[in-house]
Amino acid sequence: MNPWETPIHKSGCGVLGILRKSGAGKIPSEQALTAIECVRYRGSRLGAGFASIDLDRGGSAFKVKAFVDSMETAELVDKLLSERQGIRIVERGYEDYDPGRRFNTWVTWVRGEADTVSQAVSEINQVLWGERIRGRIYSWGRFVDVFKGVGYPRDVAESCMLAKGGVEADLWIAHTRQPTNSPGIYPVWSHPFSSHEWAVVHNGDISSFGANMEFLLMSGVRSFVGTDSEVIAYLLDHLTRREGLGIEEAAQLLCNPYDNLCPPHIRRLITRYRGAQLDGPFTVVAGYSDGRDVYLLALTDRSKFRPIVVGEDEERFYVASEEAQIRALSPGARVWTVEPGRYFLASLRRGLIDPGRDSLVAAPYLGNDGWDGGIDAEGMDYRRLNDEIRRRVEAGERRIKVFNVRGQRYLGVGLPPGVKLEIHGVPGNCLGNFNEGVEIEVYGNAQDDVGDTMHAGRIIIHGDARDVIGQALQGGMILVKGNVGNRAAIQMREYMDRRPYLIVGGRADDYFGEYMAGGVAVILGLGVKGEPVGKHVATGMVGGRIYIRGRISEEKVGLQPPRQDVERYLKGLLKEGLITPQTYQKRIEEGASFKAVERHLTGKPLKRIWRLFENKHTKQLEIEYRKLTSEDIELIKPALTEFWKTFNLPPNLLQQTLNQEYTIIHPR
Amino acid sequence: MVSRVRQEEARKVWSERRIKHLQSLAGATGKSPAEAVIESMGATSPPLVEEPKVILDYIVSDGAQVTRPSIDPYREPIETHIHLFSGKVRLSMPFIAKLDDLDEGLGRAVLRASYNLGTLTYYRGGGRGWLDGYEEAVLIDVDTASGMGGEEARRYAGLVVGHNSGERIRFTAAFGRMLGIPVVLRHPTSRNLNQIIHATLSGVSGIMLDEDMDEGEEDLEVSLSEADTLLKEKGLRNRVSIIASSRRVRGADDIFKLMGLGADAVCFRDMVQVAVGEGDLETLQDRVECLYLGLQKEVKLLAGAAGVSSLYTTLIGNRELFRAINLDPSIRKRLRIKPGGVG
Repeated sequence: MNPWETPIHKSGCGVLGILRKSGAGKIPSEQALTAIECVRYRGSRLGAGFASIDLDRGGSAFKVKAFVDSMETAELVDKLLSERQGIRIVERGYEDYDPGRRFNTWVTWVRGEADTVSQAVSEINQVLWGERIRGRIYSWGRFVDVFKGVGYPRDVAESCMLAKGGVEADLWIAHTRQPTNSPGIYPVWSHPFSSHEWAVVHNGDISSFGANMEFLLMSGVRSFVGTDSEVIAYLLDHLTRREGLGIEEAAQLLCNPYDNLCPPHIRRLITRYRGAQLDGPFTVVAGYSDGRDVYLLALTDRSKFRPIVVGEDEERFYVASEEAQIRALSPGARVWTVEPGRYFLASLRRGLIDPGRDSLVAAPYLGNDGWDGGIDAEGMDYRRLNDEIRRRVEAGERRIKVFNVRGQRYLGVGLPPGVKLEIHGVPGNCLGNFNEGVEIEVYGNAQDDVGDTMHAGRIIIHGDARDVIGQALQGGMILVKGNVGNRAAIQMREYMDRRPYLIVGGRADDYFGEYMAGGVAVILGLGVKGEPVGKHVATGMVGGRIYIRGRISEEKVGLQPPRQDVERYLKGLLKEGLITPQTYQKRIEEGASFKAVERHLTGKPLKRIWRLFENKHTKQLEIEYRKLTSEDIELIKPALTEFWKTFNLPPNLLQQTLNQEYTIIHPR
Repeated sequence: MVSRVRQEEARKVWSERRIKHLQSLAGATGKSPAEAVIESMGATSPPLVEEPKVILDYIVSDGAQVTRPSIDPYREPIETHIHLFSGKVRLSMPFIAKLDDLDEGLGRAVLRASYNLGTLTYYRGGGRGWLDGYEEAVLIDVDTASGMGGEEARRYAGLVVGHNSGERIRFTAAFGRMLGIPVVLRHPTSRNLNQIIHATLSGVSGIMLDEDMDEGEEDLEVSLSEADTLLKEKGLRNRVSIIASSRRVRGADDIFKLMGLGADAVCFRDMVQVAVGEGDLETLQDRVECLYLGLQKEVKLLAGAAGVSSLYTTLIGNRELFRAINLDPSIRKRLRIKPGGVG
């Protein structure tokens, strides 16, 4: 098949990574299985897999693993490898053999230089990947080992002997696959994808796929199975092995930082290695070994279109799609999220290298004891748990406690008003969606999509919450003691006397209040260092009010043109004699926000430059930085009082907080 | 020899719909200057409704779908900037206007607008005095730059050298390297593209594939795609910028597709003339600025619809984002674009 015309296959899935710390014991494969099976519903029977990295694996020979459809294909792989100058075969054979399977794994141990093996693998894969798929070499590391197949993670683990009494390693990554527009019928499309000492799992669907393939073709890679996830493994291997970039440089290149946030040396690398950047949705979890150390890397896209959480305890680091996966192995781990467009990196020897955010904020673990006759959700499937809750409600119970909750989805959905649901543990995604008057109290952290399209009632979270909390919130109140993730309070709205409130005690990431049309969203930033909110606050806001304690940069509010463009236009106005050098200088110093432009320009020059900021589809926003007026206090004090009472905070702190200055954002 | 077919095509590309649309972007007509027209689902465009006139008309954007959401450019950033010449020049949007034989009033208006909006122009006309103060926004042809000293040359965004003399290309490349000025080879859309490889190896920073040159043999689409592919096969693609140039570039859709075929930036001429009409310098400048800002919004909408948040890193040469409908398979293969309906 012409490599320029490879068909593509894409996916959206559940991911996991675990790395042991120096001094801690090796990680048994069955723990990786437990944590990925925890989000079984994120995947399907169409593909799952695991990869391990272990420094004690010897490292003198490459373990070349290939799916082959027949003994003839195995012989062909053997022949092509053995004919290659610089490669010596040490051992070969089937890893396991099941005549009922279309593909079995053929293993060849070889010695040689990495570049020679790499080239041989690429050429062999081109031969195997013809009109009919004869097979595929899917891993060839000295420290990496990949196990993948068709089925759920448990099926694959069992067939690869990773379940009970399985294999131990320094690092595991795992994947459960939800193919959306691709076949999952053969294991060649399952994750992890691997190249040399890199192994990668991915949840997402990247728009840069074509550009990435072009970059790799330019770099000599000639055969692709056609999933966007595979190219990510090739990119990481190419950049680190062939181009000699550091892991962090490669990670930044792939994350593709916005130009205005890009350090100059990374911008130079982007120009030099253009085509290696990822765009579109991705959460990538990768394992790597350079032979001396073992690395766990996780990348997230600039919009953070896919979930990712990171955890740490005394023994290990974790990366997962959902917090419940981490809690399944380590109930007390410290868990946080990666900022949009950033990467997390830790290594066995060096420990935490980059937490993926500037200020590492994580709510303390609240424990899960005190079971007193409520529902014990341990090991319960989410459907069973929801059925049990509903059964009790129908039997007349109005106050229901659930313990040992670990990732069960849809809790509190569809319950009648007046019910109080107390949750201990980590509820799964979509907690309290469409709530019409239930009170939900979570003693712990919540995951993504809390209170979506909620009309009434109350949701209280004593820990942190993740992305998209309060989406389309249109009544009732959500109180979060800790932090929230990306796209909180988006599309909030109000109607007549129904005014929703979202109060965040800690901080929020990007796109807070995007498309907001009504209601009140408050960020208190209690105990937060620096500005308690990320980029693009209130973009597309058409109604409602946002209060953020303290001053936040005006450039963070709304969607504004790049600073360079604004500065260039000002230079043009200066050339045309429409502004003075003093005005130009002053404006440059105050940043490129529309507020700064308005402060210093009037009349014609303002009208001219305003074109860069306006469009007929969004409203202009007002940003005020000031003390609260009596109207503001009337609007937010009742909700803040509830917040203080609920979380048992010192009453004098409330008054102090109300006396401080706020950034207040609303449409003009 | 100029292909007669192409000359013929160049005349007929300007449909009334196109002209009206450009005029409304520029604010020469209508009430919403600098605003992209948002249309409903369904298409009024070629190749299915209107008759396709050029190869670009057979190419459609594959678009985003469920797992790869589209991006709303009015609320989330879509980066339209590009870096040219190994990062020496930043364009806020991938536009280059050919000033050539525009009359001086319009030329000045285009130049100022290009400067203000952080884009470039290409000039190979007679006198260069009127460029004064705006050289930073000009790629100047060495024919026009004759007698120019190093200090003056440094004020320009780059020097453009013709393809006829290999000696002259090497000399200009060396001159540019010495002074730190990007040098661009202007090359016709010919079948044999070996010269662009030689020029790249001798250190030029850019290749302008110009369909309007007399020696052109191929359609811009084909020549551009093959130049991009050839440079990639030689491992040289990221050393040079490719500028696709033709008077028949009609709007954001053409620009977007040409970038997908490998262009870092697109150079046009008639589009501006058609859009702005007549008026004094201020009016014309105003209209060019509105036209550019409107085109920028349209490019963002196209990128957003494909789930692309950065033209520079994601769109350029990314044929996977496109499909061809009813296009002659031999041309389609040279473009390396899959037929519609292929996953």
